[in-house]
Amino acid sequence: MISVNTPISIEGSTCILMRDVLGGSTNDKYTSQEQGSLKVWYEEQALRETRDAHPKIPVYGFWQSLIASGLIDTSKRLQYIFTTESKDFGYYLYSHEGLLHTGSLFHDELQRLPGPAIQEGITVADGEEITVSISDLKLPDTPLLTHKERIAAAVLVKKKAQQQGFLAVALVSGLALLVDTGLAHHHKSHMKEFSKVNTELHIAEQALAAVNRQKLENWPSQTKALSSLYQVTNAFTGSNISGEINLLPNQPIAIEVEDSRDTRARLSMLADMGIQSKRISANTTIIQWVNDEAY
Amino acid sequence: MKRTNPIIRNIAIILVSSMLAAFYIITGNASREYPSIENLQRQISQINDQVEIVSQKADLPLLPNIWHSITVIASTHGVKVSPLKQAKDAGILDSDIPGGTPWYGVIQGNSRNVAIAAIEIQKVVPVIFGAAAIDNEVIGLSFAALGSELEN
Repeated sequence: MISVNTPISIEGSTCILMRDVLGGSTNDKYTSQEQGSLKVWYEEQALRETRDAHPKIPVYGFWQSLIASGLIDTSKRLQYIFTTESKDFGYYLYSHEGLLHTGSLFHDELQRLPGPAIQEGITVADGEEITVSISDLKLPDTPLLTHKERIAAAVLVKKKAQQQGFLAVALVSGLALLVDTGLAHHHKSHMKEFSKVNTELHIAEQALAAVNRQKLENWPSQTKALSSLYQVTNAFTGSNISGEINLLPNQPIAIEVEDSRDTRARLSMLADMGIQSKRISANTTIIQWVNDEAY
Repeated sequence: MKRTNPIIRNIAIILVSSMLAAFYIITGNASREYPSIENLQRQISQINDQVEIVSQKADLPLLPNIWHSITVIASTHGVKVSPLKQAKDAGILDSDIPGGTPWYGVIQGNSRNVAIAAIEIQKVVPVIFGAAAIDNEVIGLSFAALGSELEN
């Protein structure tokens, strides 16, 4: 049998069930607490007195524990439960159009019934008894709290959520920092290796340059260009010859020859050697060719 | 004190964090370039191969010896040899030099003699002929003698 205001053991924990009500308070001394989808109402002063009488024992509401144990069905019109072996005292829950009302039950008489129930002429015989042993009861998640305690608990929950939020942000930031540091370290190692190999490349280039300064793969030859130069100067000995030329491969050569004598035979001879000429005036001829010889 | 809605606060935290992360990425702090080490190693390998091939060639004669040979050949043809003070006057660029260490000079004299001397010089020592200025029967032909500065 469930007894009220005396220490009992539910799920192995010692606790006290104090009287609470469902369906709202009758005065401002009451405070409420949510239990599942319902609200239980209780007097803060009664809660404090019960705690004073039984220090260190958590206090739960009578109806609160029944709700937590899944014994309350608000769709039923009347439910009642006895709290004495003799079944002469207990409590009832009256439900009408979504409104709840709780009261006491004495010698099968429903005390302080609400208006609709009186009009209905409802009696214990119309209700359903809640039969439960203490071993079947379950403890609600939270004992009854005063208004201040509830606010403090809410603040604590909020603070905890905030801390968890900050912790999560710090964790993600820390993880990101760790990954970034790891990548930076990897990049640094790569660049160190790159720098080392780059130095090796410079050394190799310097070695090649040093070898090139002392070796020559092919001996240069500009015989053709020099021969042409000789032929032109030889053919026009005594003439006015001028020009600024370059004997390097693929360079066009142009030499100006000024001669009042007949130069046709000489130019023809040069033409046979592949040296072209262009007469630009009566006495002036441009002799030209391109050095197509690679050394 | 007015309390901030926790959802708005969380969204604000996520937004600020995202913006900071985006700023970090956009400013290039998160991007890291990895230049190819393999590419460098390939280049080194190619250069080393080239060094090995070129090393097998005989060393060029020392520049003073080359200069001496040029002077001797030039004098037999009555041609004057003098060094060039500025390499650019030879009309020969670094890219025109196939190897060796260049020493720039000019041979001057009768055009025919200079042409014959130049042909003979090039047969005896490695020389590149570049710019030339002809004025009547006199020519100045610049050259780059290619030799070695070190002892063989």
